This record gives sequence, structure tokens and C-alpha cells, in this order.
Amino acid sequence: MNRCWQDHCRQTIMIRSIFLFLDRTYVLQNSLLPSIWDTGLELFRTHIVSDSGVQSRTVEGILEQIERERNGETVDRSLLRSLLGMLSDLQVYKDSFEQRFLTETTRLYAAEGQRLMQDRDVPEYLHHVARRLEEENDRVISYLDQSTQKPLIAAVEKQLLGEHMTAILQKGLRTLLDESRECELTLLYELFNKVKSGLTALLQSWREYIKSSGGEIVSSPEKDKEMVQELLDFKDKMDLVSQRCFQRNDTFINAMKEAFENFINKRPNKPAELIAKYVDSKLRAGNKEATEEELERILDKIMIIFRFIHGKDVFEAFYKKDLAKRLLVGKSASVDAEKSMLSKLKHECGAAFTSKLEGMFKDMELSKDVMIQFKQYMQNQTDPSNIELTVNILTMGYWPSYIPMDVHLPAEMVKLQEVFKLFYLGKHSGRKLQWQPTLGHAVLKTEFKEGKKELQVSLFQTLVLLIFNEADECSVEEIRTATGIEDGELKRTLQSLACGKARVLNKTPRGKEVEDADRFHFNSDFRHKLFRIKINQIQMKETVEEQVSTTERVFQDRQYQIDAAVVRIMKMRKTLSHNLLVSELYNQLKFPVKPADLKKRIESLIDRDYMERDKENANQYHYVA
Amino acid sequence: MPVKKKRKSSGSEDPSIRKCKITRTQTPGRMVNPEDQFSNKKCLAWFYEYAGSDDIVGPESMEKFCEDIGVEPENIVMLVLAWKLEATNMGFFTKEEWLKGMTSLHCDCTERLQGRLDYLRTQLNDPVLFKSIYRYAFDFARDKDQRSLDMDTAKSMLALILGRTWPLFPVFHQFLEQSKYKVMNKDQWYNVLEFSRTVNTDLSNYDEDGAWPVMLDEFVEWHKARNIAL
Repeated sequence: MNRCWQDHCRQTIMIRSIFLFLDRTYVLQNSLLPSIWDTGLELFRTHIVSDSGVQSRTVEGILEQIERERNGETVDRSLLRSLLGMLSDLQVYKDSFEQRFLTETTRLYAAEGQRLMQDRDVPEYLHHVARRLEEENDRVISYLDQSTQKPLIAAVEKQLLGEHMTAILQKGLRTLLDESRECELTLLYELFNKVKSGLTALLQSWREYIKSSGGEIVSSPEKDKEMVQELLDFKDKMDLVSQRCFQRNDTFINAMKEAFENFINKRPNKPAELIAKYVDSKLRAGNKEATEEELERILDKIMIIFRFIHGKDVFEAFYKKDLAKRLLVGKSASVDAEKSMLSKLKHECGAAFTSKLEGMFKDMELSKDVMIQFKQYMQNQTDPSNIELTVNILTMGYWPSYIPMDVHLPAEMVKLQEVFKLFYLGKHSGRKLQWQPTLGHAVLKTEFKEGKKELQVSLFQTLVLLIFNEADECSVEEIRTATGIEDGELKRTLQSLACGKARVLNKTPRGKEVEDADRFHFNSDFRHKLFRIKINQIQMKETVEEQVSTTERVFQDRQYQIDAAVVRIMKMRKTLSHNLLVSELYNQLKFPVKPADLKKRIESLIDRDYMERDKENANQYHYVA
Repeated sequence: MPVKKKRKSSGSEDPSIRKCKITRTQTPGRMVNPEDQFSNKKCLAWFYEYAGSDDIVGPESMEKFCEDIGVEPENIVMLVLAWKLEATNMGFFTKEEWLKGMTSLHCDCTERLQGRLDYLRTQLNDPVLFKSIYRYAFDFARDKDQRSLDMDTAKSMLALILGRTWPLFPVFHQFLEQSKYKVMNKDQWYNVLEFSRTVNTDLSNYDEDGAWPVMLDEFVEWHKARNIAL
């Protein structure tokens, strides 16, 4: 067949050449004569090409050649070009060749698409598709008629991409995104951009991917510790992909935001809490891993994640608690960073959100002024104390609520407290001072055998240690009576002093836990390479309790907010149907809430006579003034 | 047997007014026997028969009263009677309640009241009156120190009022048995009636997004889950 074909080719070329020659020399000079070229073409068409046998063999031959080329063999492109040129000159190109060519192409690539989708993984396949498209384009340029380009490329795209869109996305997108293979993703985007509804499908899968991967990050409680970091990384990665590979397509960026919002709120409250803790860890002193600018950048990123969170009140509660700790213990890394975080929050959630947090900062600053005045006041005092007192005055309501605890302070401290109280109330009459021993801390000067040391300890630790000024050995019970510290707290305090890293007390019998029967005595052999030693309180158990109570408080607050919103709406509308009320509530409330919870609050308000149900229509409520 | 008389449409505050407007009777066609006309004095004497020296019929005399008229205390007709008398406390009739209510019923002795019991029962068949009786039952049975009905009382009251007519009641009762609710508030109580009236036995037309109290949402959910499990 091939040989026959070659002969045929040579002949046709020769004939064609003759025609060309005649045409050039003769017809040009005798323009009145019917063009020999045309006549020749006509003759050629009627006698040779129109012969169905010849025509089909020619076309088949061409197709075979093209298929061979597609299969990687080299073929005589100039031959093909001249043949196809002939067909188009004879005006049979469209009818006899193009259609068959396209069906042939479709068939070939349909098969190829099927086969390769099975055999190859997606990145390879994508590269293959890109190469195929390039080849076909090349083919059009080198020997096919220009008009074929569109249908041809469309056919190839349809067969190689369109048909396999879902398969590609299902099989490959995940891995591509997981491994962030930018170049394949770019290719994918470009290829899908060419196919009808390709981008929509890609968009859909992209959204699904973010939802499921993000959901995995958020949903497993074991991984809570790394959750925020992972979220940040994930967000970075997705940002990168959407910018580099998806040409910053707005719909993709929006889809990403939507998906983030969706999955972060899948698990209520916990992400907000963890973000707050993460911010705390970044803002806390001793965090030397980041410079100011880096910190700023991290905070900005956190804010982006934070924006997706629905229950921002949970964040606020935990943030406030941690902020209080940072401020009171002086652990804040930098005031600038704190302030910048605060202004970001203010910008994001409005002034009402941050008013309490700002109040806390204000308290700290005011306290500083008060202390300066107090020092001057003390200097004028006739009875100087040997203890230096620093007081932070915290406005109730701004700060998290602390449970006041009664402990027995040493006489000097009590006296000093009284002095301060007198001083402060003298300046601001009508205020009430309440001391919070849980938050106090002190520096103690101690003499060990090794030499003088300064111990930086909490107030409870101080109280315990001061006992050993008088007594050499004490039982737990004796310490409890002397200090008045509550049992669990006392045990933790003793544990930190006798079982922690810096053991300034010795416990008999030795052990990690403090039991009721244990006895303690002062460890005068204590050694430490530093002069000033900080002994940390043991807080493990406390944080769990704190966490629970903070969350509870948030929920409590939410209930009040729902109640207030219901009453507000009902007061305005007087009469409202259930569904309208609920939808209005969803408009007003800024945190996620289940319809059942709303109903519970509504029922509670009915029960408390703030509103009533219509006597006939149970779906209708009336406001009760 | 005493002739049934239609109670006066307006309030009969003044006990001296003799009941003369007997133009309409409960059962048309029956003539009124003039002997049977209501006597205020008789009614008061009848009251003191049970109240003794106090001005109130207490739980013990109530039992006797029930016995005399031949009705068990837990019969629903007693609830209707209490509703008619507008009694505020379960187990008690005050003098005012007695006089006002019995006057409206035209009863001044045991026999007459016995004759009116059927009429009282028919009140339950009127949906509007039934609703009013049902709603009345909440305040009637409620411990006056509390806003809500404690669950045991609520359950027995529901059994009394809805037990016969509401096919889902046994299931609802079971639900209450296992639920954590300790009391039933007024809103829940009122809505149980609506529920029993409007929702199909198979719960197919229950609208979860409606204004039903959460208790009923939970009941429906519980019932459906149980049906699947079975």
C-alpha cells in the first residue's frame, strides 16, 4: 500500500508540476483564454480525484501518514503539504478530507485519552495533552489548511480533556495541590481554560479540595496544637497556587475564601480559641524566633484566618484572658505588637469589640501613674516599709473575672495594703478595691549556702516560702493553716517549689506528687547558676478549668445577646411570625447559633412574659410590654 | 330528674335574682318544672354541707362530694366542673367559686348536679370550649408557687385530657418519661394541644422549622429515631 501510495504521489506531483509550468508560461500571457490551470484542475478533479477509488485511497493515504506521524514516526511533511494543497486547490478539501480527518482525529484521541488516563498519572497526562496540542498546532501550520485549525484543536481538546475532566480532577488535583506542583497546576488551569465549562469544574474541585483538606486540619482534636500553624501554612499554599497558577482569577480566590469560611466553622469555637492561643504564643515574651516585622506579618496572616471565623466572641474571651496574663505578669513581648494587634482587631470587628481590651491597656498605664504617685506618697510617710509594693488597678468588667480567694498575708503586707487603700481611696473616693491574691507575684531575697539569690515567685509561692523563715519543717496541714490557701492550689504551689526544676524546698518522702502526709523543709543546699531564678507555677489542671469556664462564659454571654436581640426586635415590631423573627435574629447575631437554641431562648422569654404566643396562631408572637 | 336549664348567659352576681329566663333549654322541647327553680339558699346550704365551718371545700370533703355525686375524683368531668366553677386550686372550691359556678349551672343539690354531668361532658366535644378547658387545666393543676407544671402532674393531666382522644399520647408519655424535662411550662402545655390537633399521627406534616417548642421538636426527633430503630 505504502509503495503504491509513493508511486501515486510522485505521479500526481509530477502532473501538478506540469500544470504549474504551463500555467506560468502560457496563461499569464493569454489572459483571455480560459485558464489552463483551471481547466487542468477541472480535468484533474473529474478524471482522477472524483474517481471514488482514487479519492478515497488518496485521503486514506494522507490520513495514514498523519496517523503515523502522530505515532511518532517521521513522514514526508512536504509531500503531505503538497497533497493537501492540491485537495484544497481542487476544492474538495473540506468535503472529502477535512471531515474524515476530523472523525479520524476524534477516534484516535478518544482512544488515546481512554488509554492514557488509565496508564499514566495526571501530571504526565497533562504534559502529554499539552504536547499533543502543540503538535497539532504545528501540523496546522506546516501542512493543513488554516481553516481546519479551530475544529481540529477543539476536537483534540474535547477528546483529551473535555471527556476526562472529572477523572483528571478526581484523580490528580488532590496530589497536585498537596505537593503544590505549580507548573502542572498552571498547565492544568491553562488547559481547562480552553475547554468549555472546564474552569467551572476546576473551580468546583478546588473548592471541594480546600474544604476537605481544611476540614481535616480543623476536625481532629489530637492535632489541635498544630492546627493554627497548619491553617496558616495551608492558606499560604493556597494563596500561592491561586496567584501563580490560577492567574489570580477572582472567582478562584473568592471560592477559596468561601471554602475557608466553610470549613473553619465546621467545628465550632475551637478554632477561635486556638487562634487566640496562637496569637498569645506569638506575642508572649521570650519568643525570639521572630523579629518585629516577621511578627507583624504573622499577625496579618492570622487576621486573615480570623476573618473567616463566625464566633468571634470566643476568640475575644480567650484573647482577653491571655492578654490579661501577659499584661499582669509583664510577659508581653512588645507593647507595639500588642497595640498593632489591637488596632487590627478594632479595624476588623469595630470599636465595641476591642473596647474592653483597650480598657485593659488603659488600666495598665493608669496603674503606672498611680504607682509613681504612690512612691512619692510613701517617701513622705513616716513609717517606711521594707517591702516595695506595685499595684495594678484593674477595672472590673474590662478584665476577665477572677475568683477572689482569701489568704493569710503576712502583717507587713496587710499593712502595706491598707496604706495603699488609704492612698488610693483618698484620691478616688467611692471606689471599691478588691485584692486579687491569685494574680500577685513577688521577688524574694534568699540566702542559700551557695550565696544570695533572688527568687521570682507568685504570691502563693511567696506565702509558702515565708513560713520557712520561722519554721524548719512543716506539714501540708500546717502550711495550709498558716497561709489559708485553698487545698488544690496549695498542692500545686508546693509541687512547683519542691518537685519542679528549681527545688528550694525538700519534700519527704520524695516523689512527683504532693500528698497530705508529706513534710517539707527548706533546702539550704539549693544551687543554681543564675542569681535571679523564676519558679513557674504549675498550671496544667488550671488551664483545663479555665478553658471550660471561658467557653461557658462565652455561651452565657451569647444567651444574653440572643435574649436582648429578641426583645429588641419584638419591641420594634410588636407582632412577628416565628420565621421572620428567626431570620431577623440571624441578621443581627454575629455568632453561629442553631435554630433550636434560638427557639429555646424565645421559649424562655415567653416563659418570663417578655412576649407571648398568639392565642390562635402558634406561629405568631406578640411583644408584651 | 331535674330539668336541664341553660345557664344564664350573663354573670349572675346577684344571688337574689331568681332565674326566670328559662326560655331556652339545653334539650329543646323539655319543659321546665317550676319546682326545680334554683334556690340560692339551698345552694349555700349545700356548700356548707361540705365546707363545714370553713368557707372552703377542702380535699377531704371534695372526696365525699365526688362520692355523693357518683363520680371518681380523677374523672375528667370533675375538671370540667372545676372549669365551670372557675376554681383556681385543684382540690378546693371556695364559696365564691361555688356560688357563682353552681348558679350558672342552676344546681343547688346533688341530684341536680348529677343531672347536669352529661351536659358537662358534652362541653368537651366543642373544640373551642375544649381548648379553653385544656388551657384552664394548666393553671388549675399548677402549684401556685411555681410558674410551670411539674412533670408528674403534667403527665397525669395530659393523660386525663388527651389520653382518650390523641392516638400519639402513649408515645408522647413515653417520651416525657425518658426526657430530662422536670417541668412543663405554659407555652409547652398550650402547644401540646395544638400539636395533638394539627400534626398527623405519622408526623408527616410536622414542620421542624416552625415555631413548635423545642420539647416537641425533640419529641418528633425521638419518635422518628425510634421508628427507624424498630
